[in-house]
Amino acid sequence: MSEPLLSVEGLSKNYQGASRPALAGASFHLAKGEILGVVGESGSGKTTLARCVALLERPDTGRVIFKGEDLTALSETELRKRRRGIQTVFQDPYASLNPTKRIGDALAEVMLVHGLATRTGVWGQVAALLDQVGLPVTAADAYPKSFSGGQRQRICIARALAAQPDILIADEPVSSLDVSVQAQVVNLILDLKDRLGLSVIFIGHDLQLIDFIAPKVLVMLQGEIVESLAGASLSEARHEYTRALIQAVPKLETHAS
Amino acid sequence: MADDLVIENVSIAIAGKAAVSGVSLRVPAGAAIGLVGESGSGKSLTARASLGLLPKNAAAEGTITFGAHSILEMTPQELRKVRGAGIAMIFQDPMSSLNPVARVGQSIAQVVRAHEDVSQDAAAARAVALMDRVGIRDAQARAASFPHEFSGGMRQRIMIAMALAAKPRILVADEPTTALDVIVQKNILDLLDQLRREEGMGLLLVSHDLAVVGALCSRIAVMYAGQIVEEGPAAEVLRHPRMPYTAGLLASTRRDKSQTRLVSIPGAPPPLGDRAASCRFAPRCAQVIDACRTTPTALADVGHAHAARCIRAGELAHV
Repeated sequence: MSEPLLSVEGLSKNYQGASRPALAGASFHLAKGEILGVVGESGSGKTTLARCVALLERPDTGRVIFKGEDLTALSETELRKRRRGIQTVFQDPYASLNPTKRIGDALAEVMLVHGLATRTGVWGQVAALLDQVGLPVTAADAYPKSFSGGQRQRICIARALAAQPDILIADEPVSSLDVSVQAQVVNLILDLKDRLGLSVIFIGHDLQLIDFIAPKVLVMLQGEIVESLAGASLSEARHEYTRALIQAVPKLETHAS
Repeated sequence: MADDLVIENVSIAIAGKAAVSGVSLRVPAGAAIGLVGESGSGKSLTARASLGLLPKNAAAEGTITFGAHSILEMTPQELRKVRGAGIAMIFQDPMSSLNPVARVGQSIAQVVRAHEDVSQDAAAARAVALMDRVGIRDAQARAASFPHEFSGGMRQRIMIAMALAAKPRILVADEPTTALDVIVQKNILDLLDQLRREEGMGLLLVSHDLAVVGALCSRIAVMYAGQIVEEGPAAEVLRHPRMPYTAGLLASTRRDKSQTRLVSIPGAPPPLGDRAASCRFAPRCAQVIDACRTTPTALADVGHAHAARCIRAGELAHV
């Protein structure tokens, strides 16, 4: 097998004053075009993992090897150039967009900053990005307030894609959305993975959803990866906590039987 | 019955824009009724209206009765008495409903004293007993803690203890577990179910999650764009949905690994104020025919104490 796109080795993070590490020795690989699921409850360390992998925050120990280079060893200036390759989308699409900036300007800015477009060509690329995430071209002229939660999350995804990343980290991207909209956004991320050969780390608390999306799922508890489910069905979960997570979800099937 | 909550033909407009249209719903004493819908469906407005808790720019029509009380005609003073002792409500975000600078025992005791003429000591003892009742361990000591010293799940238990302090006959729970982790969610749902059974209290559970509502409720009403579009026994609605919107919601929660994509409902609900007389779901419906776009709809009986607002409900029995 060729070298993975991303190797995370022994990643740990301690916050001052906390009783235990937020993240304790997380390790995994991610191949090109792979989608990896991470599931855990609040405080399990899944968001810290996302932030450390994207180097939005520096881990205390461990390495993040992206395209053969250890990102944790780079200076801030060097990192700024590499960060383009790993983009993140967060749970709250309301807090993630600048309310005073038109959507088109927000997307154009990303491409211009990274030198991925010229001033004359950028508007064509903005239109293409909007189309890619299922929004009309006219969205470019509007401000975030004119969009619903689901549409805003599409905009956040478009903004992440504007940087032409290799990896998309989606941290609870659908948790604040309505059920019918959740399915739309999940399907969009799966389409983009297929179409662009994007690698995706999909983080959430809904084990059944993550299991549907990702062939391989890491289960986190109190900062540690306690189980890795690869290609298995949820019924084969071995860790007590994973089984508790599965059993806690109310099931519609009890009525269907 | 005296302790039933009865909502009849209630319509609510927000700043002149139609939000809720002609909703009727009954919460019998001791029963758990589910009200399901997505954001903007009007489910929370309907729930709040039953306690007279509408925003200032809202105008409501229709009647809501609880026993002999006509909620929509009551003065704020009268409402305050019914609220709590008659009908109590808990919300999604307990932190915003709790006084951050009051010890939780005091907050609960205050509700006790607002409804009963008891001494401070007796109220404090009741507060501890209520905290114990909702499963807070070491209640005596925890009564002296502040809200921020509790986890989200424990805060929701404190809200439930406060709601119970006035011995309500109806509890309205608006997305009580939406912000919680699944294991905590299960514990809170189990608690609500236990309290309903043991206190003989009516429960109106409002949620966007059909599975949450299905786990607790005997009947389910589904709202879309301000209307109830389907209503019936929980098992009927979940097993044999007759309204394509309900069927779509159910399908979008299915995690079928033999498929590569989730089933989704295309499009989005209409904005506030856009409230057609014909089917409001028609623009998103896969089963739509021309008549759907022009025929006024009604919630019609489809048998088994089950009703649906779909002119094709008869033909689409097995969607």
